[in-house]
Amino acid sequence: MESSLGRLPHASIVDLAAAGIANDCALRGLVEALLREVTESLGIERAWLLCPSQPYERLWLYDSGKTECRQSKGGDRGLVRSVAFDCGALLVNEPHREAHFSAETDAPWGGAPCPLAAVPLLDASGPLGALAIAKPPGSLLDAADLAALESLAPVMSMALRIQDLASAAGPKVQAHHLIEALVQERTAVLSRGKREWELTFDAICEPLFLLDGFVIRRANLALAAFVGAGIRSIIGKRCHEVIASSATPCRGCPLGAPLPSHGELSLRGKTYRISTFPLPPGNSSIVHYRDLTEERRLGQQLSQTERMASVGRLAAGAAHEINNPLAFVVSNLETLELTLGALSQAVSRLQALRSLVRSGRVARALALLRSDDLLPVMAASQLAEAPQVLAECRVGVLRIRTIVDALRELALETSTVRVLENPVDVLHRAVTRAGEDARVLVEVQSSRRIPLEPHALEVALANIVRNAVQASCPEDPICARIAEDESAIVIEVRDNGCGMSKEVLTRVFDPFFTTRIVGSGVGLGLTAAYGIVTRHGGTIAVASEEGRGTVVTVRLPART
Amino acid sequence: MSEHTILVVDDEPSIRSALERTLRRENYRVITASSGEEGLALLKANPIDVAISDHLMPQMTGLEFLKLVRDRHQDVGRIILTGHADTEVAIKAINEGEIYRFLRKPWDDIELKVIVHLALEQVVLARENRQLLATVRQQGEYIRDLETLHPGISRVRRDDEGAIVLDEDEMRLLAL
Repeated sequence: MESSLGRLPHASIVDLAAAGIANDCALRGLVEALLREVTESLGIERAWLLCPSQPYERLWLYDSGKTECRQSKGGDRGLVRSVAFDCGALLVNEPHREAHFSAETDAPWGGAPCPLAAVPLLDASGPLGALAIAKPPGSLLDAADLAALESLAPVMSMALRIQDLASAAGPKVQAHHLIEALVQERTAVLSRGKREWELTFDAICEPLFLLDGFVIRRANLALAAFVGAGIRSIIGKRCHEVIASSATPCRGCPLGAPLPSHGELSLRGKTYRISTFPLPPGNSSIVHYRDLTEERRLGQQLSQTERMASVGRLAAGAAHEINNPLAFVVSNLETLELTLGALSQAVSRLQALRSLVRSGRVARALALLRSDDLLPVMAASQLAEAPQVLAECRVGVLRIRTIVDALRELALETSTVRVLENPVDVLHRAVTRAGEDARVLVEVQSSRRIPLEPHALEVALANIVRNAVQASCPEDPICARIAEDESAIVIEVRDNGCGMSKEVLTRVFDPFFTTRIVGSGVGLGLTAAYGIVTRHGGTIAVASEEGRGTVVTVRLPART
Repeated sequence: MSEHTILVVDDEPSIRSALERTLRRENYRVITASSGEEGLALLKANPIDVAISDHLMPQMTGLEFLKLVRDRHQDVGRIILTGHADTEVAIKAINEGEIYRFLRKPWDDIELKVIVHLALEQVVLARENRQLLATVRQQGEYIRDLETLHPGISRVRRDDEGAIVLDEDEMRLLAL
């Protein structure tokens, strides 16, 4: 048997195991190869391997070149099984006489009792199983056979262990399962996310879709409803075919722009704002339609309402301003009427007296004079007051005229005629109009002519100059400067006067707002200036500091 | 005819003199103020029956002025004069200032006279009312004092037919 041991190529068993791993072949192939090696090296026919594993034990049977695998539920009987678990080698020539004999593991081919030898297969972690050989009935096994078997056991164990670690039941499967589970989970998340996004897109009640070039790749329900077709029938078609029934892209379509952009489109009597958002890379984009029709209508209505409201405010303000002088003029006229009545009574009394005296009835005349001497006295006192009453009437009427003039300025016919004029000339005329030639220093840095409504700017500037003059001391000069920057003519009127508080500053453009004492300012000057400058596409700004002065800056566009 | 005094408050001199002339013709004494503050000072120094005030004035508004008048001088009739029909001012005038009348600019002289006349009537009535109430209260106290001195003196007994029943003391007192 020494010779047979010598023949056994241990290395070849390990090679087999390694090849098994490399080829990822099944355990069966390896076991078969191993058992063949064992039988051939020992010169016997049959060998078997018991591998206890959960939940079944595997029993590999090798007989004359053929392998068979059985499964058993295990149990506590069987000589080979006890070798596997008790870890001691065994040699029995009459196994069926042993107490623990089990035909299943100890005589797997059945038939007459055979002599049997078995060795445990172990590694560091514990028992791997048992390797058994049998000789035909009638022959005997001896210690040399057992020793040969024992010398094979470690190699066998090692090969099994390597296979075990590396093959099917190893971490590869676990990793595979893990990856599979992960993939499933991710797939679920993705499909849920996709569904959620679809629902989100569908919840948006304005058409929203994704394009590849002009081809619709995704669309929400709103687009389907918008074009009156099912989503499936839209996908894959060109957007202009679906939406505008046109073979060419719509006019004003903002698609293809490298940045998010907007355009407007008229479709079936409605106006839409089209917003496109490019999706780099490639030429995909997201497109959003918003119906502006109602918004536009409301906006127009609102600005109309606002205009009406401001007209209303202006009318109420005008009525209030006019009512004051009107009130005392009306009352004074009544006073004058009474004065006139007293006067005419006095005159008729005088005529009566004169005719009495003429007809020689002097006594009668004296009696008449005595009877009612109060009348002339009353007439005289009323007459004495009359010039004052008249003067006040005149003041009231003049004030009403001032208000009406200011209102006319405000309503200065919005002429469509524009005349090319030099703002410097306009400013000079305005200063003259305000009657302040001596006090206003004009500094000219630009003489560029710009298109202006005739007279309008002159009125506006005169109002601004007048305010500056009235806000400052008579000896302080007012500075007016005309300059030019890249886009506008800038006219600046600066004074070192009393300035304004923040509260006043917020109201300077309000109609009928004035800081002057009653009767001396209408409060329409800056209102008119604002209207005129705005009409020219310009802006007017007032900066002021209490006690330091005020700067009014008018900017008029230099180009039309 | 007793002379009544009217206070006119307006920041505009022409309005003040127009009102003054109209009211003077009605034989009222008229004093004028150009602001609420001045009006309050005049009220302290003069016996005034009716105050007419403009609403929109710098500093103190007419409404604020008349509220103070109500708090400090109950007896003075209050009329507000305003240039525009602002419902909010009207509501406040009635609820907060307990204004007697609301006059609009331009006013009608006759309407003004009638309103001032009615306001004065009301002021006089209110004053008389208060005076009479004071008299009644005084007399009541007198009777209570008598009752403590002579119990039963303020009560009168009557029989079923309404005739006054006198006891012996009373008979004696009346020497019947």
